[in-house]
Order: sequence, then C-alpha cells, then structure tokens
Amino acid sequence: MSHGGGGGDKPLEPNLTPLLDLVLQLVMFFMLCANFVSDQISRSVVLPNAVTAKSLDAEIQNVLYVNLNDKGNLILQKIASTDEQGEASATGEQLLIAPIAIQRWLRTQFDDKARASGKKDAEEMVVIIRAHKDCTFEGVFMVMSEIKKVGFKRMQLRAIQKGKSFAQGEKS
Amino acid sequence: VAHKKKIAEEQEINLPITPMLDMSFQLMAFFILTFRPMPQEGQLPIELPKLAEVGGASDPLIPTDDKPDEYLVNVETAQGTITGVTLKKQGEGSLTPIGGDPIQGLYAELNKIAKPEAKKPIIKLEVGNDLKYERLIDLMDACKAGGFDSIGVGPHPKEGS
Repeated sequence: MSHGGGGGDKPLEPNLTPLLDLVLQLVMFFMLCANFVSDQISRSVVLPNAVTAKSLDAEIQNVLYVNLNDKGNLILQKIASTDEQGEASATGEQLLIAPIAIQRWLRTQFDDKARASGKKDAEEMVVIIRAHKDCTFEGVFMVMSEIKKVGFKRMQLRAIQKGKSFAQGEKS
Repeated sequence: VAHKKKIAEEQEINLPITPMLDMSFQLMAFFILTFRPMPQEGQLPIELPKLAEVGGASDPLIPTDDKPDEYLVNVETAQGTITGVTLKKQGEGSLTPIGGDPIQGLYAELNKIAKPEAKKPIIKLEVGNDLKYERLIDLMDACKAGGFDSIGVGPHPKEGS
C-alpha cells in the first residue's frame, strides 16, 4: 500500500531565504531606530513636558546644548583637563557650579565658534537649555544672563513634546 | 568540451543560509535588548533677557510707534509652585487676576487678547526665583498656546537677578 506521494530519497530542506529577508529587515529597523548618544545631551536631565514644543528646525545646524541638573549646575559631558572649579557628579559627569566658571565655558564655546566660522555665526548659534524639571528659575536665569553677556543672540528651552492641547483641558 | 559545460550548468550552487540567519538573529537580539526609544524632545523659543536686566548697557531703543503691545504676567510663587498670577498690559494700570487653575486661567485670558499679524504682541513673565523649571515651561506653554510667540522671562524686579 502506498503512503501518499512521498518525495522519495530527496532530503527535506526548508526554504530559509524569506526568513532571512525578514530578519534582516528587522535588524535594519532596529539599527535605524537606535539612539546614538550625543556628546552634548545628558541623559541624567529629566525634562518637563510641553504641548507647544516644536522639533528643532532641520536648517539649524549651529547648536550649543547647555545641560543643567536639578541644582542648576551646568553638566559637562566630556572634559579634556580637570578644572579647579569643576566638580565630578555621581554619574561621572563634570559639573560647573560657579557663575564665573559657567561664563568662562560659554565664552570658550563662543570664541571657538567665532574662530572657526566667524563672529556672525557664533552670535547666530542657537543655545538650547536642557534644564532638569526640578531646577529653580534662579539657576536657569543665571545661565540665561551669562548667555546674553557672552554675546549669543538666540536661545530656546527644551522640553518633551507631550500632552494634549490646552483646549482639551489636559494641562494643569 | 560541450559535455563538461553541460555538467557545470546542471550543478546547483548552495549558499549556506543557516549561518547567516544565525548571525542575523544574534544581531536582532542585540538591537532588541539595547532598544530604548528616546522621548521626542522639542523647543520653546525664548527672548533673551535685556542687557540692563543682566547688568550690562541698555539695548538699542525701539521707536515708540514700532513697539508692539507688551503684556506682563506677574507670577507669585512659594516653594517652587505658583500661588497667584496677574496679567497686565504694559502702560495700563489695571491688573487682571487669574483665578482657578493658573495655567488654564492664563491660557483662557490670553486667548481673549487680539493679536494683529503686523505687530504681534509680546509677553513677559516675571516669576519668583524659587519657581521650578517645570512650572515655568507650563507657563510658557500656556502663553504659546494662547497665541504669544514672543516670550521673555525675568525675575520679579524686587528679587533682581
């Protein structure tokens, strides 16, 4: 009695090519979505939410990030040499506490940009303040004042784009 | 020669798919495990404080005719939170107190103000030094949602910088 149409001696070989295609597509998706940590953005800063916050204009390439922790200290991600006014935080980041140290750092950023691409470009650089949500206004305003004194002309405050519109009464 | 060529044509080329699939699975596992979607961050543009406010020389004067209407929001604070908000048009004496929820109230009040396209009004927030950044962003958010794009912030004149 016959047991149906068997393949005889031919070994069974599942077709793996479509599976490989699918897996490679998934790998590609995760690769594209992977967040590469920017040197200028501190992960320890918890930002507040804002409904009206807009994404950074794609045309703006000239940006300086200023990260402030919950105590209003400026966070430096990478520092080449130890500054006597700097202080290491628990996360290994370097902190600038004194206004004079903050002003000096901002001045260095401004001068570096002015040397590299001219004073006009340095003035037009957009300074983005990424302050911790628990940071006081006093700390933020001190940094804003130093930014103005150094000579920058454009500034933005950063927040998480979240929440429903005001008309829906979500924000309180 | 023709016979050899025929044999070569009949031979099947087997690409080893399995090791490639193994490697792809490992790569995928790595990306899945390290995948941490970052929240979308956005910006709120803000006017820099005036030079006089930060201890410098005065900014260049703008002719009175070209000046847009300026509104002043006075924010009383205690322990980092908002305790009271009043709205005033610069040059006018009357204060409009904001009742109820200060953020929603401010948004509702600002929505009532006419904003001509030619001379868009500007708004300045005067807040206490102890106000939390989170609440400052809420206030700015209400101003933006209320139609004010040009927002400046500063401390209360009595507190200074």
